[in-house]
Amino acid sequence: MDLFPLYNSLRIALISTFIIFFLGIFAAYYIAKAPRVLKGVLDVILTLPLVLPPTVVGYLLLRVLGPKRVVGKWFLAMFGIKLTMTWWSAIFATTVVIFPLMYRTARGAFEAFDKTLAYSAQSIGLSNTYIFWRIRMPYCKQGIMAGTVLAFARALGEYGATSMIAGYTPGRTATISTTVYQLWRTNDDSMAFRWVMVNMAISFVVLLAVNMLEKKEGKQRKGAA
Amino acid sequence: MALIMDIEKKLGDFRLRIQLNAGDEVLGLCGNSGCGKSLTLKCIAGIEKPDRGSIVLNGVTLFDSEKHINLSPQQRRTGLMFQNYALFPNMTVYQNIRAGTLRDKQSEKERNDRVDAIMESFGLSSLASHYPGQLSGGQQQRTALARILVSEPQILMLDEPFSALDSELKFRMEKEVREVIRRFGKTTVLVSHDRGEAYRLCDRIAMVHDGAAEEILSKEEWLLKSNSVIITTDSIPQNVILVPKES
Repeated sequence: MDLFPLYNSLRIALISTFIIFFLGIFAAYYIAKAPRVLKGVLDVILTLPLVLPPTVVGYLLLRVLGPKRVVGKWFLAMFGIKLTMTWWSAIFATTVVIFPLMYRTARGAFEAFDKTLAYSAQSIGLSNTYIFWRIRMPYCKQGIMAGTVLAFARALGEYGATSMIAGYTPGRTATISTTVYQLWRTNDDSMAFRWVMVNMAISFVVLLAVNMLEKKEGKQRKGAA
Repeated sequence: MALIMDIEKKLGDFRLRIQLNAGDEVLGLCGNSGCGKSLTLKCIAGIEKPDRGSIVLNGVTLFDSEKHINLSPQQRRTGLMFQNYALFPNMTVYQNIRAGTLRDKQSEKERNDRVDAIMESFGLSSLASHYPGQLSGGQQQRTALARILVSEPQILMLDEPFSALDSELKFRMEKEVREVIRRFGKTTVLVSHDRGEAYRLCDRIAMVHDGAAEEILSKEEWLLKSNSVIITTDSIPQNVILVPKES
């Protein structure tokens, strides 16, 4: 069994999770402070990938990053790099698809934050950076970790947008999900089943982790009250 | 040393118009909930920005809408204690108090000595490694006061300091807080909806109604005007209880 799809899926999921960890938190933090109308508009736009079919996300990404489209063309001309059909092209797809998961969980966690903690911290002279990393983030830790793990699980299972922008090339762009489809299509049922089991096992562990984090958070809140 | 403020702020339909003038004394702000007492403290601390007016503390302009001065909460050196004490739940008592020293550039030893001294004076030394969730209400309040005082504020502001405590503890903590205020010796503003508490702790009191402060009165004048009578007093100020006069 060639393990490349597992390795490829994991690296794509890890890198995109790393990116949206910061991007999601950044967006959640600043949008929570934005004026109401702007907040409403941005919230809808940023949550859209959660409800759009992945094929629509893939289509839109190709419209922007494809070798004949604005951004894709520019990259090709400037750096000689094609943004599609490489293993890392899938990172664009997964990042867009999982962004709302991180953004929404982080925002929920930030909204539950007790603002008087930040106010007292400011008035005893602590800098806003210190307050963010040493008080706000630890307070919201469980929610943010749950969001991160959930986003990772979703990234690992992304199929639609990934197959459109990175395609399926064995040993180059194949991920677990595109491999399962390919094996099923070519009637290699036993191999497809093996990959299905691998995927299920990983997802099972990840979701178990999310549940345990959420339970722990519930307990902690109760303890604090 | 004094606090001089004259500000206006609109929040939705609510309008706050407050003029205060306090020296090295304990000024009480009394009134029902939602009258603007807490908002006034937040404006002094720089958490809320008034629409208009000025706030001057010990000769330093904290806020002036005409001169476009608006110091950050960090620059103001105001000590505001919230009703819930706002202790950082992820830090121990020691770390919470030490956080109050971080803005000052000094050696680790000086910093630790400062924290140790204040913990000693608040009787918190044995609780250094406890987390806020493990403390009683009284211990939480002491920690919050120690954290504020170690940061060397120019003004002490207490927002309903005893509302989170049960009555037995309230009695004890009130005595402790009176002592803390006395040692602090600078301007202190106490927000309370309990007239007895205000009478026992404050030198002068202003009633706040619908976002506006009435004239600041000495507590004796205030007592006459507020239609209350003292029912028990045996020269221990702690035992003063105020009740509304019967009509």
